[in-house]
Amino acid sequence: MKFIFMIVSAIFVNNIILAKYLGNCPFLGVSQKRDSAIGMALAVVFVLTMSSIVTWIFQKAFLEPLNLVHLQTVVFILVIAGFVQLTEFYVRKNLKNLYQALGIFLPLITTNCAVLGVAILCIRSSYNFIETAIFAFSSSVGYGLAITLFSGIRERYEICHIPRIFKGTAIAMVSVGLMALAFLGFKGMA
Amino acid sequence: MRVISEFTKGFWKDIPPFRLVLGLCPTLAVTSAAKNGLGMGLATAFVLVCSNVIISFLRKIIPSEVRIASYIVLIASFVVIVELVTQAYFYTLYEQLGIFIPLIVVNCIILGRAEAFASKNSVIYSFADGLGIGLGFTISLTVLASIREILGSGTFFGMSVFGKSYLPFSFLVIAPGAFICLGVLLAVMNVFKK
Amino acid sequence: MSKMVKIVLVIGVIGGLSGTSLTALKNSLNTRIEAQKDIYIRGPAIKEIMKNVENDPAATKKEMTFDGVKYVFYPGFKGGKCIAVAFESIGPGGFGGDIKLMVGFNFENSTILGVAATEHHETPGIGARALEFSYLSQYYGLPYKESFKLKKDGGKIDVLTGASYSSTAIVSAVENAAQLIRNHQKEIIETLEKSYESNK
Repeated sequence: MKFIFMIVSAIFVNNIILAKYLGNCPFLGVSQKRDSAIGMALAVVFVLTMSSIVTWIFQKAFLEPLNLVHLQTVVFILVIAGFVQLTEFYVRKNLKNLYQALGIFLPLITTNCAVLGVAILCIRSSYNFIETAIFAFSSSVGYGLAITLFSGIRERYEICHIPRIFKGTAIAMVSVGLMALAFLGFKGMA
Repeated sequence: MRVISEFTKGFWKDIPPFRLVLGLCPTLAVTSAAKNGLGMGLATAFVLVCSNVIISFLRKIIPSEVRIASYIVLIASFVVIVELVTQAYFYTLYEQLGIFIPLIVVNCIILGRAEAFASKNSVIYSFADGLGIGLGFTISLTVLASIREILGSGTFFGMSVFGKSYLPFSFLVIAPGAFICLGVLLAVMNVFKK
Repeated sequence: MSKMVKIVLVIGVIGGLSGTSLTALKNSLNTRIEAQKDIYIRGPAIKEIMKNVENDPAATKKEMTFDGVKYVFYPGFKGGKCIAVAFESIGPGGFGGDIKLMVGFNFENSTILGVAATEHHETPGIGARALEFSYLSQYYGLPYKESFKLKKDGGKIDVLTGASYSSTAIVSAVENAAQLIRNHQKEIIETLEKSYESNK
């Protein structure tokens, strides 16, 4: 029951983009086409979940016993960057089809603040291993949901008449705001 | 006089996050109060200046294969310095900015300037560039935060502006308001753009 | 080959330098950071709990270890006698993770002096309501010799509707703290009085 709460809360109520303001740059950058949005969503789900788990293990196995918690930021970002590199390397060598779909999104993910953000949030909320895995996975699903829905809205904008000054990022920000407003409705559920 | 032009471009021509649409997360997340916006802007500016200077200084030594990894370590180190110093001297700010202080490390402005500018230019130009862009970012955040704080809670740097009878437009303080406010500001900026 | 050596060397030097200098900075700022936490987080909580004492609890704090766990005690004195103590206790399993509470004990009449939250990640307006005075005040004045249990487990403590995880975490934080006091009350009072005397 607790985990169901956690999943619903992370996907809808506290969506990492729409309520926690994490990962906005790639959210606006790759949401112009539905296909690329879905590719990005899948890459984020994999990398975010795995790197939260890996950084959690690093925190508990090295940083806390060695009393180096203040180096958390340095170590986490290196672990994430290394993990992304390894994944890209592996996917390019062994999974040709997947690489064609996801390849270009993988390097972008290192600077996606949702990845580092969720990794740090898990530590700050002192989640245990299973909670970390579930929280990270459902947060990333929330990210994927938001970016996929948003790309649908943006594709429509291409055939709409938009005032000149609102073209581009401005209208995108306003529509993210309206989406966030819609997601705010889920708050009543919790 | 290139130093001056590298410095001043950050205030209008390349002002983040309006002209350079980068670093949106802190822009949205911490700008619910002017004090937080200013604090975040200055913290980011500090990291940007330091990382620009040191990366430019080391640009001939760092091998290009591992340059991104080296940049990340250097940037992250300055972020940890900011983290420790704010914790020791500005604790309330540290509490309020919360997770967004460590997230300065993934602010794309910083890595972007390191890769696009500091790794190719001399120390003095990189310093001017970092300071200009950093202060531009600080100004943007403070302006956005002031609008949201004045209208959203009726205060400015914690001081009451409209008096007690003002009913705050608290929509601007929550997440949807942040997005829409930034969108409208971007549109206003576009009015002045050819 | 020399390229490889250079890469390893540069990365190693950068990493080593950043690690050591940051650790040095952390060590030099550590006492200040702890002092700031006393002022901004634990301070208000302690002040809320401790009234009518002659000393400043944060200035007379004392570290002690029981069963391998380190505790920081904030004592309250009156006429040179330790009449109260407050310390942080962790309640595992709130909705947003562990909840940290400052729990105060009154030694004069063996009751809970007060409970106040110092660190939590509960949802504002939902779980966080359980950390407000209106809910926590039910602990005030309860005798700590008995164990604290929720009503559904046969105790006296009410659950806040809609915030059952938070309520459970709070009750276990208070119970853990009370257990420590039940087992070691004499020892704690003696140590605190001794260090208060010597610092006078």
